Amino acid sequence: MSSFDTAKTPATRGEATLRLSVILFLSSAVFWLVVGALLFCLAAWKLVVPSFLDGAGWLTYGRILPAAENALVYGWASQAGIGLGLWLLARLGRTALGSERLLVTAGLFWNLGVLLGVCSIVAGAGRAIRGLEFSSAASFILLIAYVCIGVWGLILLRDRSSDGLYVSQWYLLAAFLCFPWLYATANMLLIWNPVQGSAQGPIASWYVGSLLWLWLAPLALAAVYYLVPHIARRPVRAYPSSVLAFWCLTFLGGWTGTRLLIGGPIPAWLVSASIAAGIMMLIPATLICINTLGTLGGRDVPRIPEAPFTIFGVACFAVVVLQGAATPLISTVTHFSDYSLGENVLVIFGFLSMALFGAAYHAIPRLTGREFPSAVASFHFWLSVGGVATMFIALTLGGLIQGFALFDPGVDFMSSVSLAAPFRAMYALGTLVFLGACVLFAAAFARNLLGGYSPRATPGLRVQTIGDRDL
Amino acid sequence: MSKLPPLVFGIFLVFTSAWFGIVGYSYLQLGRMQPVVDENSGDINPPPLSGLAAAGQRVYAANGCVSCHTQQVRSGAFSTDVEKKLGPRPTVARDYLRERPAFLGNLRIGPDLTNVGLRFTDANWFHRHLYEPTAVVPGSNMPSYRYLYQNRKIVGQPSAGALAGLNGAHAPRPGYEVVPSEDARVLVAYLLSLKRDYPLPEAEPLQ
Repeated sequence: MSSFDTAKTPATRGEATLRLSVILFLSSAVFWLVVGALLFCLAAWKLVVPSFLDGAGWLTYGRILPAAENALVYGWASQAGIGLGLWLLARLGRTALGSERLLVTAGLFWNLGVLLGVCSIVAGAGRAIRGLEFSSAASFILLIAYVCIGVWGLILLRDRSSDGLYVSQWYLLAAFLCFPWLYATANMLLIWNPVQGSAQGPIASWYVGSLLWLWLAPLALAAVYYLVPHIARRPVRAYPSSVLAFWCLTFLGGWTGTRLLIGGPIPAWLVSASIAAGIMMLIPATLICINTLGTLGGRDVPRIPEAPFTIFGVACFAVVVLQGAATPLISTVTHFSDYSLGENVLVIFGFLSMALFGAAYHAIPRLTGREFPSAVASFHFWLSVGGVATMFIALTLGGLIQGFALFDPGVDFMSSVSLAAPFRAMYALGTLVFLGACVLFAAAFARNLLGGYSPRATPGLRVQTIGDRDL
Repeated sequence: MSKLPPLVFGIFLVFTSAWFGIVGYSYLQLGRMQPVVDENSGDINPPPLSGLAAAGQRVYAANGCVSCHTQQVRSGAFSTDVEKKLGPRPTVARDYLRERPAFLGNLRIGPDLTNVGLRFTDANWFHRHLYEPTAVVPGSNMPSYRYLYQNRKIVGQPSAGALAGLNGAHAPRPGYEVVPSEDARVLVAYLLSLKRDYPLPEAEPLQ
């Protein structure tokens, strides 16, 4: 069986040297979460009432929406993933960092890049390629800042004092290695020195798929794999299979993107390969669900804030993979309809955000020494679930109806707009609920940072690395 | 596997598979596509963009038109795009040769614009539609782009480029006129240029 490790290594030795930078990453991530959710909510309402704030260029739907998506991806999910990832690396490897000055500087530059990028989109200098809308200056700053951050991630891994590597560390290593490669390739070929248009479609869709499965999802899954044995207080179920899941996911992840161009102007084999990859993703997803939900399920889960968020995040991950695998069955109806917007909502809010919230509820009390009141966490959870569920159900149902209208040659285009309208109103309500959840979380986080909550009962003396068995 | 180097090497291998397969292939094959000369007419296809249309492409990008409008007519196996008369033929990679960037899009919140220059040929119609979408297309959920226009007092003669036929809530009062900015003019030039009806060897227009 696995090493049920209850090491009494001073818990704060490793990650204490990272305290300032992790708090910086998390607090600025939460700031961008609120900004992104606000812009996202604004965009959703503008879809319902097109004349709402339509007098100014910087508030037009076509700029607000990419600004929101980029703020959420680079400002929130990436940054929270980086902060939590570095914290996990220090904790799992029991690595102490000499000085975190460079890391803090790099974090500030990352935020400068996001700020510049969001402003460039709103100001009308956006690049109109999904996930790469930031101006070339902003994406360049992001990449430079990232290199400094990523190097620290690798140093933390290399200098670990514990032997062996946990699967959380595998995922973090994959993410930290893939992102610069991914981001540099996409920017080089699409933004800084664009290839000709005929090649841009497949490269852009490769980037969207890879950004999710080789960067954002590994960051979130690293946190999930770390949390699950902590929550369940027993080792991960079927732990060896997590290795197979890891390799399947990282191999298939890069291939999933091009199905976004199903039927489009790219060679058919690129789409077929991507559809096959999407179906094969069921293998790692099943294994990951067995590892995580299998460990947490079937018995009384402790009532700690990280548990519901993690479970909900993994459940959304499973639905995301199922939707991807179902693409060839339903894409004639769902492609280009609000259904695909629903898929995005589930990825960014349901899967990534909820998993990151769970990890944040674990890490923040250990960084500040103060616990969140369980009522706040519980209210935040149910508000988030309400928001995500409303958005997802509205977009999925509305998208199916709109999709049938878009598909049927006998129905004119305007019918698809009027059929989708009531569902879009419901979706806009959902974005408002989710925005409320984000603001609540930001307020609770700020209060925790500023010392508003009561101290943790036994700071730093909890069981550290239960069941994350050595590989 | 408890050491870093083999893990790093493994990650390198799995990453390169899609990197070579998708990015490398696209860059080397699709990225080197050439325009073709039509043997019958002597035209170069796809035709080069005018300077105005190229500038309009940047306005199209800046205002995020691609958030709601696709520019691709999909082939028959996956869609009814051709039956729905989005264009005379499915679009192929070569159609996007001159696009910077290629506005393929991912949602049809608004209609596909691949061939919008074939459906509408009147510049004033485009200007009116951008200025007051709901007055032109009842029930439209397109926002107004009147920030690309100037509503100003007529001094002397009315301007030649002023919009005709405005009747929505933001129509000019008597003695005023709405004139397109440079951005609006080039954007409409770009939209008028969107016609993928020329023949390509890999995609003949359907009769």
